[in-house]
Amino acid sequence: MALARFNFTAGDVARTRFSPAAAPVVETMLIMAELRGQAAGSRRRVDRWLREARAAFPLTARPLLDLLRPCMPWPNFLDSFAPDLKEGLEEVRATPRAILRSQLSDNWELRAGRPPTWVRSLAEGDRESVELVVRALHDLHQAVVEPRWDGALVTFHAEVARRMPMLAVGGHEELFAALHPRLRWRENGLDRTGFDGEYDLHGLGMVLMPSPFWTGDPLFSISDDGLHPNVLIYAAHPRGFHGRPPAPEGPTADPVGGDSLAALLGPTRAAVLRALAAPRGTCELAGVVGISPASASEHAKVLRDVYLIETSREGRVARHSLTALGRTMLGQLPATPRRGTG
Amino acid sequence: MVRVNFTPDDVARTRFTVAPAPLVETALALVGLRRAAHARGHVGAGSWVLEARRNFPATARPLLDLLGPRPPWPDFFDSAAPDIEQALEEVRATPWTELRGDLSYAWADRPGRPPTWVRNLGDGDRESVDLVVRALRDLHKAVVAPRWDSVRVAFHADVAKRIPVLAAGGHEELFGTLHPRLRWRDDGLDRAGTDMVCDLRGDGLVLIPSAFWNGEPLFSVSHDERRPSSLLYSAANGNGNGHGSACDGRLADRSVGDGLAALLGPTRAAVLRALAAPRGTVELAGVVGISPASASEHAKVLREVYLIETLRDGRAVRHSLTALGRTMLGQLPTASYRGDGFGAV
Repeated sequence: MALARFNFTAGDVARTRFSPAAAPVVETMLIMAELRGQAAGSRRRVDRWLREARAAFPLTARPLLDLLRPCMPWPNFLDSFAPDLKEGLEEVRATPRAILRSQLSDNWELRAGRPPTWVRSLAEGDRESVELVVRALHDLHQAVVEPRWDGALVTFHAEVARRMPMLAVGGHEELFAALHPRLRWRENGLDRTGFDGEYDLHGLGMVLMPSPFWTGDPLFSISDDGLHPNVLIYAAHPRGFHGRPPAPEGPTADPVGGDSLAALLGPTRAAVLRALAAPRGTCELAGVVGISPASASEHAKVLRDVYLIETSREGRVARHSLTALGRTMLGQLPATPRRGTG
Repeated sequence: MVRVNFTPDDVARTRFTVAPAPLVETALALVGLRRAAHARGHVGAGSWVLEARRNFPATARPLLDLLGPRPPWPDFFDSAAPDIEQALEEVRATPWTELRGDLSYAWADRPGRPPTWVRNLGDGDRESVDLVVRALRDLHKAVVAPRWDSVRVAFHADVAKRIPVLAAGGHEELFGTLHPRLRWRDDGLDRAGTDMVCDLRGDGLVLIPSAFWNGEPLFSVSHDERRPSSLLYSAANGNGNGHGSACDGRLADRSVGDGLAALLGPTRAAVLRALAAPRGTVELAGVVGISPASASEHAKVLREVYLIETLRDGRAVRHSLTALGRTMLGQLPTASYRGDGFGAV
């Protein structure tokens, strides 16, 4: 049986964590993979959104069809995990020539025939060819990812919120087993059935990246230079993207923090909670939400009593901010690691 | 420095305990009282210490012989049982002869010989065992039980606060924020102070937030396969500065239940709490005392913010709490999650 083995040190496990957000460039690539899977008939069912994505496929994205063979692996330089599209495209654009050459020639060895002229130029670091790739990613993103991004973020954050308590009470061992049937923690490392290989993580740990669009088996992007993170991509929802939160009868595509939060808490209190995504004093909070300071203070008290926000005092001034639970409620993880806040 | 070495398996099996342990809290309350007496510092009004001194039962005095102000303390206080009687049953079943070393340890930093009854305890004398059990039960009843709601709130609030840190930063980040003296370094955990090196045995470390404890994090590295190794830390404000603990007055009158009603309205809060056990719409309506149409409407609102989820089973639906909903109620899941979510591949 084919088995890939990922060896973890204790430090690698201690640095294994969820990605704070979905990555637009990677999701664009994964939609490419879903489209190719659909064309090859390997996808079990084709959802409406995928048919729509196929219809919206822009001409300028066609170079990606040359670059990416019908099945993976694909060249690593396209795996940008930046949470922002512009930043992600900048990373692709900045790929050194040596990396382009080695990854493209390695990848082409898996295919028949010679690469087209423009791909050979790309391997030489030709700027125009690099721009062709960046434009293809950008346009494909705008056509198929961007219109679905709000729903994608909801799916991403809901998946992380669902997994967090599993990690807390079961450890990574339980978490990996629950993520996908092909994954299993066994004797100081992770097994992934389905392909062969053995990989070390170089003390960098592993970033867990639930993908709202991907429906296939878990994918790995393993750092070969110790500079990029090791990433495990898995399907955020077993049946794939639904264009809305994965609820049985939720007709809206509202992200959490939209109207559904207002329906739960009332519009004003929901606005107060959302306004505290950035820490604020009572008067500032009142100004942002458009209520009186006395009312802001009252709402803050109710939210504080259930641990959705916390209030610290600096002298006579109170400062309100979201707690971890509050962030989870809004579907957000702490954006930056916070040291020494205990 | 205390150094605890982890294998990769140990990190992968490190987890939070699912509920506060009454026996552990009872033992730590006693230690807390002793420390407060030693420190001779000011005990703030509203501190649980003042009330505990007033209510300290005479029958609990034998514990003063067993629990000094500093560790090590005998292992038998470590029971994680969520119920006090169950924990006391475990104490009764302790093979005392194995604990003889422990018991003399507990006496190590004091002058003179342990009292006769402690030596008898080491011989497994039943009367001495009953003395300990009664002392623990009475101390629990007088000092811990009246504050148990606060203990639970502090426990769950602490875990709710830690979970996202663990998810976003890994155990390295989690340990770095549990206490200023803890730090993940290379393949293990360092705690400043006291020189000692311990190895975990591959079954991980259980993390225990304690409401009564306000001192430095305590390691209990187990050599017994039946008992997991654990790290106990202060759930207070996590700063372990020795001032106050999570059981002090200001938390005692604060309960998640009432706060939830203020947040969601009494009916919707009741709906959420009723779903601590999964229920169908009609059953839910019956439990809360509202119409099925109203129950269905409340369920919809709660579902859309991921506090509950609804599964269809033929023509019936079944509502249950999501992970977020459980966290909101201050509960962690107790069941294993293995294999949920995905169908066969």
